Amino acid sequence: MKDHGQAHNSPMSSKPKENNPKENPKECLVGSGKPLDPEAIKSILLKRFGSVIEETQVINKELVIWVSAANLLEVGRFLKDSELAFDHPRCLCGVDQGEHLEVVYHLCSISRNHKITVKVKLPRHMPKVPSLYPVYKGADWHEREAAEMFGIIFEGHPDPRHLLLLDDFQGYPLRKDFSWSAPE
Amino acid sequence: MLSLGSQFLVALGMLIGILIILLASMWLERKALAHFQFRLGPMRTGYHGLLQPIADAMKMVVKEMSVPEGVDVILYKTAPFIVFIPAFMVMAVIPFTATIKAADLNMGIFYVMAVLSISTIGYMMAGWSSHNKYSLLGCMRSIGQFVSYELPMGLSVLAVVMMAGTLNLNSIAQAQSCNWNIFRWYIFKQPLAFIIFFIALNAEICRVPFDLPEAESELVAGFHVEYSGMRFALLLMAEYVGLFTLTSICTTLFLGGWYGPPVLPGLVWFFLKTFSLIFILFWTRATLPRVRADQLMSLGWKVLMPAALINVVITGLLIMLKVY
Amino acid sequence: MAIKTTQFLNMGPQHPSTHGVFRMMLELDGERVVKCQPHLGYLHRGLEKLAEMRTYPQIISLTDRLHYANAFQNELTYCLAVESLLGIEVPKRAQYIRVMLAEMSRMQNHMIFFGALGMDLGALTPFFYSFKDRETILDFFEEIAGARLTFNYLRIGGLKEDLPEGILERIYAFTDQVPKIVDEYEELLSGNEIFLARMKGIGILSKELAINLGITGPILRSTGVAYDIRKVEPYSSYEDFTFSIPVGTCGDNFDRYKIRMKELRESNSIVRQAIERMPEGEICAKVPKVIKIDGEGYFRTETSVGEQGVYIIGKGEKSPYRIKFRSPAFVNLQMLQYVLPGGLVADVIATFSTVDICMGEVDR
Repeated sequence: MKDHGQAHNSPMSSKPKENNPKENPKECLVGSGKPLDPEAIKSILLKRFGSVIEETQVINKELVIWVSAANLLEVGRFLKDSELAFDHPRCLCGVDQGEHLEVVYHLCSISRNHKITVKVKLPRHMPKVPSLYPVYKGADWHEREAAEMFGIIFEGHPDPRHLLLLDDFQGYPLRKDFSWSAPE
Repeated sequence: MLSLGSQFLVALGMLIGILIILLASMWLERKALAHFQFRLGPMRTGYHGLLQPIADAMKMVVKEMSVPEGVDVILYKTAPFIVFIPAFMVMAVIPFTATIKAADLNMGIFYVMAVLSISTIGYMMAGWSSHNKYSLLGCMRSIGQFVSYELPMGLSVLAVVMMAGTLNLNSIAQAQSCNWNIFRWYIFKQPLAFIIFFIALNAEICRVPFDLPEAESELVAGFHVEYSGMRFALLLMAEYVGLFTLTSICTTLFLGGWYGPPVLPGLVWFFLKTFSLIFILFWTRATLPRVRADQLMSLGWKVLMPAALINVVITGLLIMLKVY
Repeated sequence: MAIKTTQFLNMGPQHPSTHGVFRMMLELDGERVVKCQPHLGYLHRGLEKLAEMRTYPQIISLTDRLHYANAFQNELTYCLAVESLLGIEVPKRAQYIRVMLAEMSRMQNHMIFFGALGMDLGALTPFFYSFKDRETILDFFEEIAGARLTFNYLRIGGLKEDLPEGILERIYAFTDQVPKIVDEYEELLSGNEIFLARMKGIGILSKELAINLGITGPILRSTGVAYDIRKVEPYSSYEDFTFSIPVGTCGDNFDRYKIRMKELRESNSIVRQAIERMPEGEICAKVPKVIKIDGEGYFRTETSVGEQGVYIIGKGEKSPYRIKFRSPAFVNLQMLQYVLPGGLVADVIATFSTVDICMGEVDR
């Protein structure tokens, strides 16, 4: 490629805004809190909840915790309101793990810029989990989507209708055992 | 008094004339808008798409006039006429030149204001009978808009009438007769009245930024959402006839009608002025976004109305003091 | 017996300004909105299910179909996610070209936004102004990728092929024009009295609600939160570029508009920087012939709409076990229910337009 040199030499190649020095990523955040590393988050959570956190793991520098459905709301409230300040629900999705279903909550903190993944294992025959809508309003549509796609029941969701699928759609399309043939 | 036969011929001539003007302004609008927007507009039918309006008109005529389920059939079918006929009736009193005019009414401008208000009923009928919430909202908006803009319009006309001392449009134009001294035109003596009249005119014919009754992006097509074929064409034509008649009235009231520097014949002056005003309306349309219903109301009642009233008072004082 | 004074207005799925097939039920009191209930799913294609049946490289073409104006950014998100799971280091040249393309598509997305906003407010001309300039960018895309909307140009590990000869000079010449173009846009709308009356103080979204709803992108920044993933978690060499994050103050329609106009300029400067510093070298890393992923990961980028996330669970197969596209417009759209009540029907259109959605991305 010849244009590399030309772009530099051409008189039009005015310099990008010099008055804008490289910003520190943390400067552009709302809060002043420092991000915590996964181990620190883990120790705070284990100190507060102990055995309620069923399992922990660090994947891609991100803490993943497993909690039971019964304790989810409590953990969610703590994550949002405590000094961890996970105020931003990034994503919520259902996963069909074969013998059980799973709901995966990706949370992050805008003020402290750290992330966490919360997973809840649900039995296939009775996938019931409390809705996180009271804590995170953003969970609303995500939960409705997971409900219609996986048949997960989000207890306490204010509007548990189908979101993307038809109102009278039968079956749960994203489950692995979903049958493609039209219902009889 | 003309005989019945010649009266008929005059009416027919007017009808054909207005249709030509209508098609011309439609073509002009499309071309003007297109050129404002880096486009060419219609180019295929005839020279620079000159025949496009005719092709459109043909299409309208042959299209099916559907009557949706649940409409109030009588109101639905008569509404386009109620809208179109008054707009066309105004044509009768417009003096194109001292001689070319259909009727020379003593209360010409009063007749214009009276007849124009009739079409409001047509809009309401169209919106109400269509059995559609968008058209209902559209007709609600249109009634509010027409009622609140007729008042400042009437008051701004009143200032002109006070100066001319007559309601006759012909005489109003003659009061502004001029050769080179175009400062005899009322636009220079009544600039505020002209601005108020022009804004109210824009609102009366529902053009951007006052096209709320139709508001394509909000109410789809507003009061005429359910109309098709010739009935839709009538509503559309009413808009363009209104565009022409109201700008002609504006020309007569403020721009000296057919009077101008004696380099061009009177009729040419008249159409030049009228189409300049029409062009300004196209220009506005290409530039401005739409106002909101409540902003429209507050502009009408809180700005134009007091301004028009003050203008009437000042005009009265000036006439009393023999300045005018 | 109580007299019912409200009526329901069904807006969409076929409506000139619902930007596709979005539908909302508005409960109106006169013209005032009492309640808004959005309905989705008219464009649901089951992309997540489809992706489970495709190999990893094949999914790139699916991500194109998420958002017609953001196809490069969506491809980028997906490719970065797969690359990070495979541990592939992408060559610098490919990273720069990716940044350049992503920022160009951000520019054209904001141009569409500008045009559509004008259209929704009843001004026809902005649409033609912005689409004329967008056309130039699309022509560049066509020359680079062979397509105008659905490119399929990025590959896991790099790019499909190198840029055509001499295109960088032409893009650079175009970026000289962009500040003038944006000035022209702003002259057309920004100072317009009617426009300001329609936009200022309308559809105000509070900072707390925005964060709690998970809203990202220009809408979050318009509320005063300077949160941009390009800065917070730089990807694809974004840390090499200097650019600022425009932030709003009150989160109303005008802020959302203004921020996008500013971002247009910022993106332009990033494109210029990328061209000026464009390194030579490879355009694709060494990638295994058959891509198999064991593990999971959530990866996110900043598209023109907001945070585009991809959550991949692989179980050592050729195709992902589960893939979730977290589309920003889907989340951003939730704000309508909270913002619209209390406004007029005309405000519904204005606010909806400033959310800047694409139904393909919402419904997936």
